[in-house]
Amino acid sequence: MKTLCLRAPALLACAALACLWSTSALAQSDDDLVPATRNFNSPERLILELRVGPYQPDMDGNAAFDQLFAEDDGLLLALELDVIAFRLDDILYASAAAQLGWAKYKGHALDMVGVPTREESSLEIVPLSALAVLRLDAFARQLGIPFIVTGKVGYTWMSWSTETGGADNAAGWSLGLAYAAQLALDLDSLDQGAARIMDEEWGINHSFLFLEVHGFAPNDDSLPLGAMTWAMGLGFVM
Amino acid sequence: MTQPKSSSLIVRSPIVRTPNVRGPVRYALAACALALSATALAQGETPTENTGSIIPDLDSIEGKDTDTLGLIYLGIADCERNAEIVINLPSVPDKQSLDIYKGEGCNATTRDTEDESNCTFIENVELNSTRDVKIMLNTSQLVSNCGDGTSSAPKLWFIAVDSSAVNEDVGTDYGFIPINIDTSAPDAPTRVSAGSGENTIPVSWSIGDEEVDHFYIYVDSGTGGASDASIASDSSADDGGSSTGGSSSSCGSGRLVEGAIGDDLPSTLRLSASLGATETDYDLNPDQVGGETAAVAVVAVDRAGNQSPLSEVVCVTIVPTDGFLDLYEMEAGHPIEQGCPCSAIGPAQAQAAWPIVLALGWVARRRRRS
Repeated sequence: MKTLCLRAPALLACAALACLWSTSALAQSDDDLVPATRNFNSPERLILELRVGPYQPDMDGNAAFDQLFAEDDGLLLALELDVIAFRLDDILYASAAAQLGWAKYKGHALDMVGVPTREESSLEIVPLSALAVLRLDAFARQLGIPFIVTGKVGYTWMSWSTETGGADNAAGWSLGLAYAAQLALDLDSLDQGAARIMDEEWGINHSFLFLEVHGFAPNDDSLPLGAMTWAMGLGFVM
Repeated sequence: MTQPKSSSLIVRSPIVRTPNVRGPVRYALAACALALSATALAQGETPTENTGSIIPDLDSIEGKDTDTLGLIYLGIADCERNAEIVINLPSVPDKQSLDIYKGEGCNATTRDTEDESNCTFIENVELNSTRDVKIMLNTSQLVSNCGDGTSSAPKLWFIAVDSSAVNEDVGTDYGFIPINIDTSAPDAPTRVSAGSGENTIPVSWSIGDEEVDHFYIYVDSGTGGASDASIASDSSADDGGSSTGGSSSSCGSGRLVEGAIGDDLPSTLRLSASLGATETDYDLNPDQVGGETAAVAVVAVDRAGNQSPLSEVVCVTIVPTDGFLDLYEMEAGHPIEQGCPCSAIGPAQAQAAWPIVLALGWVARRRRRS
């Protein structure tokens, strides 16, 4: 009799535990509840950045650019591809990068008294850069602070051409040092489930939004198309 | 008037009329036509499909080709020179003759010659047992007033008949084809503006809501000495150096007169490039200007070839201009170094390249390992 009385509460407790267990199991089988760390990561080989930002060459004080193209924002569109040379898991990447950009400025040629005519004058630049890139993602991966800090240094070959009234006037290259500092927001932290799915289905390990300050210092014999300016964009680690 | 016999069916005879229909039959026919029109109106449109067995094909209108849609339009010039219209009728039924009518309200099963408001008899053609027929008409048979300034697409009806009886049941032995007539000339382009330049001298204009097929640009450099008027300078305006307006005697041209039409315009002054309907600006080059300054005007042309009056005449001026290269070199005091300043890669640049070279080598080595 006593045994029977002791068994009932125990049975009830077991039943309650069993119910809780199954509930917990059901919750965990929902794909939306993703553990903080993934069990699977595809290999990381490349980093792709799509970027856009204003670019106004300083021209070393020469007023020609401002006289003609003051009203043109001169958005520089660029693409950067990093090949990951070294990866310290959840800490940093060391990469070699190639960057290709394009911008075109349009204005009106001036007559002899400095008044704009309706004849168009344009300047087109195509910068090609080779960079060494160091990207620190320890804050995002280990400390839960969703920021990635990047530094870049390298060399730029900037092709330029100018024409007025449809006639080719001149073309050449500006060469010089390139450098950049970038702060990126790790998008994985916003939705880890989506990040995992992107990795499993597309091979995109991580994605990020970034804001970058970059500069170009051409050598003395080049057309002074250097500037320090900013760009923003979207990046993917693949 | 008798109709001359012909062994071929390429018809160039005078008009032959069938007997007039009078009295109750005329009213009955008018009622039928009205009923047809009413039915069409109730349906929201005039009959557009040719359901008869005769399928006319517009072969040509004298001196004109079809446009990109395969259509030909009769215009004012075609009307004034009484252009010939050729229509092919393949596989005409084996009947005695062919009645030709013009109008929207013609009834294929009867022959209405009195209600000219919507069906006008043109002529009767003997078929002589020939199945493939070529009909030639003159524009004057379709258009009574070349200057009425209207656009229409009246149908040409071809009804094969065996008798002159107005109530002959022709069954499906008929066919029609619309003839596009446009005797309305477009308005002259407006807001013509021209500027100055060294390599390109832009000209622009506006056409409003006009339906235009293409434009002609007329340029007169005045080298023919047509006028003693002083050459007007290109006044700089706030919108960037453009000038608008100009009299016929400005820019040394007496041959371009605003409002002039057609034959009054010297074809020698027309640029060989004719611009499409969507182009409302053009860049003249110095060769086209033909001098330091020139008078320029524009004519709009619609799909029927009707030309608008000449637009206002404006002046273009060739002046030296400074583009980016000129301005930079003037301020810098030396020419821009073009090409690749590759010799300028000195120690500083070489030092900057080392990290990249190392990085690239590291990448290559790691790729080989993996």
